[in-house]
Amino acid sequence: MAKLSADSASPASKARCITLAVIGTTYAVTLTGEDVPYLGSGTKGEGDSMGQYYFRLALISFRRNPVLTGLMVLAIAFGVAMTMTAFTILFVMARDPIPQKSGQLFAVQIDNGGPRSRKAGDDEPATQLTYRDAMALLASHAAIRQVAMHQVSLTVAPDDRGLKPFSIAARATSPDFFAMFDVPMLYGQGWNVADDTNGAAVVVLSRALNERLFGGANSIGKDLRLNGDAYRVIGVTDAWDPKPRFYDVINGQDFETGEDAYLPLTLTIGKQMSTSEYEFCDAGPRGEDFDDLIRSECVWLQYWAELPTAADVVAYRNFLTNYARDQQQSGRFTWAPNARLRNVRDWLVAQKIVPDDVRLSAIVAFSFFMVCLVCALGLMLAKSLERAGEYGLRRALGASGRHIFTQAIVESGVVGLLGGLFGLGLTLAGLWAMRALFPDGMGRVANMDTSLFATTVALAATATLFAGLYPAWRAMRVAPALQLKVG
Amino acid sequence: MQVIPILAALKRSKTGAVLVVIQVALTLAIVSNVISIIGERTALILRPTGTDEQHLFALGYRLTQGEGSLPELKTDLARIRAVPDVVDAVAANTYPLRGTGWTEGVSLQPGASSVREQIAQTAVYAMDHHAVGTLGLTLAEGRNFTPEETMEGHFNAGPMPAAAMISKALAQRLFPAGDALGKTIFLTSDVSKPMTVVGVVARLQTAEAAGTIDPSTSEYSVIVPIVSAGQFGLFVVRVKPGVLEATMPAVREALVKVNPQRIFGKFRPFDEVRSSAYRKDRSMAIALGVVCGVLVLVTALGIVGLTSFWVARRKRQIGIRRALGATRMAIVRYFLVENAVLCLSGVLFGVILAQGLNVWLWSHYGVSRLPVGEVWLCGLVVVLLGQCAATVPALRASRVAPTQALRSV
Repeated sequence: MAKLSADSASPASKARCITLAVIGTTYAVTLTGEDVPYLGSGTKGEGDSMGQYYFRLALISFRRNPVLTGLMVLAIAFGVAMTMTAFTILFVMARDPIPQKSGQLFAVQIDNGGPRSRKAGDDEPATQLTYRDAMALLASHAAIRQVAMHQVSLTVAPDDRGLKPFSIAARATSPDFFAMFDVPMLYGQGWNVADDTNGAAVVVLSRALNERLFGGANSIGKDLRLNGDAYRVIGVTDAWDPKPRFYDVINGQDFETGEDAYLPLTLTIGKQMSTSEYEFCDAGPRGEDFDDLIRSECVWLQYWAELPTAADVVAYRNFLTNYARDQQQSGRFTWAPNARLRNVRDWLVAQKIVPDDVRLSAIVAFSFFMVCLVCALGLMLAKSLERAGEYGLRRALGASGRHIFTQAIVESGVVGLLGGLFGLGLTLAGLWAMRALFPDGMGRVANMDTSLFATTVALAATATLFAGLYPAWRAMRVAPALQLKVG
Repeated sequence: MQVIPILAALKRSKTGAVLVVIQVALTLAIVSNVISIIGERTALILRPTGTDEQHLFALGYRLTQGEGSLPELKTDLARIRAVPDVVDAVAANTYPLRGTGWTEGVSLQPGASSVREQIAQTAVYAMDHHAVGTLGLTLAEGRNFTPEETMEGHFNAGPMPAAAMISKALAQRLFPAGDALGKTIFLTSDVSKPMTVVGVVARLQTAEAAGTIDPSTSEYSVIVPIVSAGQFGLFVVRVKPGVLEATMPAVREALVKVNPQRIFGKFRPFDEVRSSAYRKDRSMAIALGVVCGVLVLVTALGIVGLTSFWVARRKRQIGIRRALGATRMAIVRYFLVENAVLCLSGVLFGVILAQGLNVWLWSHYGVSRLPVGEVWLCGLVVVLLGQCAATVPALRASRVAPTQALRSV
């Protein structure tokens, strides 16, 4: 039975009280000065807007029924927190790591193993290239920019700094790397083609390694001993941490931090540094030493080409097909040309960068949210039915159906908002738990930014408003007389 | 207790009833699938590697000077074995659950260099005759390597030695008749070199076993007696019970004494290797478990809320019934039966929904099929939970005094 009492309004609001006696039940309806226009003539009052009035009504109703309201807020908060936690991870993992260029950077694949190197029904070429193919493509300069690269493991021996030698992962790559992947530079720059050809012993450090070795100072021109050889620092990258690390996702480090140094591929080949990642030898045996590897059909180099226009892409695709055909004619390939060119987005999809577990969690979380919404809807309905008397009274006093509808919607909106704010806290807790629970790679993506912040609250409020439509519609259709009579 | 009047009453608040049914059905569908996934993950985590995990650790190093040689490696191993409480030690290319290793195709004919000609892919462990004693492997058939069979070579590359031990899982795949011993196998890295199976170990999981339930990736292993001296090295050491923590630094000290020009990796006790290899699965199971728990809680709260509302709304009806002689128990029973009717209908829909969801998850995410019995069991739990949730408001309803109900409304 609905019952509004005078004490539920603040005494400061200069309330006027109207007491109605209806069928043995006493209603004390609090009417502030601003109520009157909406109950009566419909002229707009001064001071409070209608929204504020409904907002206050909503708060009053919450106070009257704290348990039901609390349950609703809790349900929404849990639902939205689960969903946002799962979707934050999914969103970050599925995000375009280099949006300004993702359509222009292409991963190159050439089938050097033929059908016999794969299971039946699979025609996907190897994900990396052999040394000979990579070198042939680099030499052709068929794209605006191109890189062949892999990861090497290096020992850093700091010169008399009292630091112990330590191991780092470094990227051996081509000169175009920095411009191609938009690597921000803190000091200096990458090496040029001449350095690369001359086999100059130069190195570009990551910001983190520069801080560790040189305290963050400009280290250009300094010498550094890597694997016992002297290198000159020619550049320091600024913080660069694409997630996923799209340029090398084949070796299971999709969401790890990148390498600590970059050095010319030509130089590392000369020094016979083998990869610290995978060599896939499905197309033929590796042989024993580095020279065997260079000649073998093992794939171990990632290859990327920058192709700004659609015409470039078509031309490059033809170039690759022709290259494969040449290999076929020379007798190296005994199968039809099979080359792939995928831009960053397609590449990440093809390499299944988002783990199934993450999608699965998102599905579970979303279903969870549905249950929470159904739960909130049921509670809202219960509440609105409970307040049928109040709505009937307002109707009897002249409020239109639309007014009642708005009042009910505002009320569910406020529930949604509260649920969203509370859910925000729970989402942060959820993401914290994800970081604590999951290994580094996945933990690193469990971070919230402002857009996700806003999405959380908006999702909760919108979903609750949507769920509130039906109860509000029911409230609107309350027949005043019947409600007042029956109670 | 008559169900008819309850149904009649429910008809008057259809929406609320339908919402409870939907909620129960969704909850059951999600919870039963999630529990099945959790079970699957737990089973994955609990698989043994076939080694004496509690007493093993691995330690890797990299020389900062020199290229490393076989005599140096032998000295290293001798010094490690001389450390008190060390049972045995072996130089290895990798160890179970490490995450990266050496994989080759295996076949029974020479010259099979491509995937299509080979029978299976197998993990390759390069370890000499100390492997069995160090890892604590169980020899199911045949014998261990002899010291003479060991040869110096390269990991990931030929030439290959003449003897090999294989895991039982691989033996059954290659030789279903169970006569693996003495047979010849060939590995991709040296397709023309026949290798004789001298022993079969009961179990030896691969370095990449954690990521998959596929036995061909997790259980097929070959041990070849290759030692490789170089800049990088990796030792697996077995110690006596209870002294692992204290022995690990002692082993490192012993190695530093032989040659201080090296960088060491982290100590990797095998239980830590296991927990980090399965961290993702364990975390997923925990996260899903929490989701499950909260979901059930939300559903229960929803039922409490709606039932409370119904109780409040029917105060007069309850009062009249009480006045006409219904006992408190009858009132409680009324709400409990009502709840049971709703939950059971929810379970009926939920079972169908759960199977549908499972088929979808199975086809998209390789989740295993859901046993029907398990779903019904979950359904039973959900119904019991619904009863518990409804008890609180039902008891409140039973306390409604007849006079109060008749007067106040």
